[in-house]
Amino acid sequence: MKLTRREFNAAAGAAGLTLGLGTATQVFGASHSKPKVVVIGGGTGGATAARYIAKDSKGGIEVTLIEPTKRYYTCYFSNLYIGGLRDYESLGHSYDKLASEYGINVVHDWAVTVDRKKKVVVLGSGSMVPYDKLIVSPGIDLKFESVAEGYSLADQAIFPHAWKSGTQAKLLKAKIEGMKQGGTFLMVPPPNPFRCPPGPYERISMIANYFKKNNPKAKIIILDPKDKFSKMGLFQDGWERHYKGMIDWQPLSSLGGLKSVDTANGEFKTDLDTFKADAACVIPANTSGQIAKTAGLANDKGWCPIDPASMKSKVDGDIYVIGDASVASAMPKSGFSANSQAKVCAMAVRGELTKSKVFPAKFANTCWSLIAPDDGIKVGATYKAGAKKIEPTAKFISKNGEDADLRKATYEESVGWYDGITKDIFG
Amino acid sequence: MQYHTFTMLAFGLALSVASSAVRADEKVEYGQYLSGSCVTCHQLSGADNGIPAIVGWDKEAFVEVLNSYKTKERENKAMQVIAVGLSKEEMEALAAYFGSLKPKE
Repeated sequence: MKLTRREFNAAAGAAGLTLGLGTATQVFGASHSKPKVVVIGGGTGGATAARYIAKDSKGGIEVTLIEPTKRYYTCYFSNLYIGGLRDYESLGHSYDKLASEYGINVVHDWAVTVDRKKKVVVLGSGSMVPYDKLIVSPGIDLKFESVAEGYSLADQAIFPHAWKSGTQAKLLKAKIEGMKQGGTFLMVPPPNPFRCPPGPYERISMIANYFKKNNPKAKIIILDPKDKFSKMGLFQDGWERHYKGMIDWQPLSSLGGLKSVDTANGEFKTDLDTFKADAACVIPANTSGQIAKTAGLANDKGWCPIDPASMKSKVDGDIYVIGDASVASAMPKSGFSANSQAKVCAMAVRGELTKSKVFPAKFANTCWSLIAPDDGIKVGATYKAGAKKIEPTAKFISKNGEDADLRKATYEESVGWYDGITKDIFG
Repeated sequence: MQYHTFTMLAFGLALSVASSAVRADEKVEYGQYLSGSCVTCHQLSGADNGIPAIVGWDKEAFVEVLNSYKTKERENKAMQVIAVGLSKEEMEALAAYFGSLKPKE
């Protein structure tokens, strides 16, 4: 009969085994130390979860955060940088405080696999990190092959997606600034579901804002795999007011779909027409970050089902999935949502490990978008954990015709939110 | 007899003070949990940058302002939705928690 670690511990304890025996030391030591939480992904979801667990457990839980990058550049607000309204470094945040003020073990490495039987995360460096509870917050990966025949990772160097921030955002900005006068900028947004539903359209607004000042004869074409998009009426109204005649949005369904992309010549072929781009942003279909799939947590659509009351994975009772990779139903995939889900998850994990109080799950999201300087809009909702999924309890959205003062205040709120949330995540 | 009564009264008073202190603590703890949804916008430091600071407020004033969003007397779509979702107990818990904080210099 093969002993589980727990059974060995109990037997060892009963037999009064002392430290000193090789294997027994490891196992015995593990049973006497603090409970261990490992977080895969130091983005908005993962870093929030790590900080809240470390902070609220008051040192009672050992937290390890696995994140490859040493400086996190937020995807949210990257459009404002692309539009010239925000500087690049303001998007960047360090992990220093999480390590020094919260005692989190920040490990800059990749999680390559999860051995769910042994409850161990295997890192790219070869290190093995044991967990009692694991939180997986890997964000998204991009399905390049879904764009059109022959499209691949290589193409992101010419037509950046910038759907993960940092280098790609800088590259996209360089492409926009380098586009010839009077040229055509083309965007292919992703199909549903994807991270940040209004994001591609805020990006178009910010690019248009840049062109208005620096390349006034430039044109923007959007070839959309969707027939409608988030805050559509609000964006179209704003584009008409601020960038009249510059932006042409076309649903691919009316063109027979995107058949091929010739990156070298900038040609986008649909059934009905071929479009020539001087610069482009192509955002492939999104899917869960790969580690979620490798760990067996994703469904056949590529997203991870969770229990709404706790964000616990439906596949494994010791693993939680938060942020973009989770199936959070009504909640959009956004930074705000990831941070909100992280707190519900942190509370649930602490409850399981330390018997601390667990209150009923409450979630919220607000997505702010900037159409033009001082013309901001928002959409949002509050949510609760329903019996089977996360359900909205109330919603709100900006309206066309709001006066300039309100639109300006809405934008200023978003700036306050950015300061607040980044402090909430990184300390 | 007098001494006995006095002791009973004192004991009763101590009990009621203790239990209201427990209730106050529970309110702050519940408020701290609920504050998770607030602090991404309303910073704990009391910084107000496009979004007003809500730390160190008088508890009754706090609840009153939340109620005025609930009745839509005050304008702000996000706050109206949030306030509509809060019960009286939750508003009081938030008021207790945020009221117990001092703005950072």
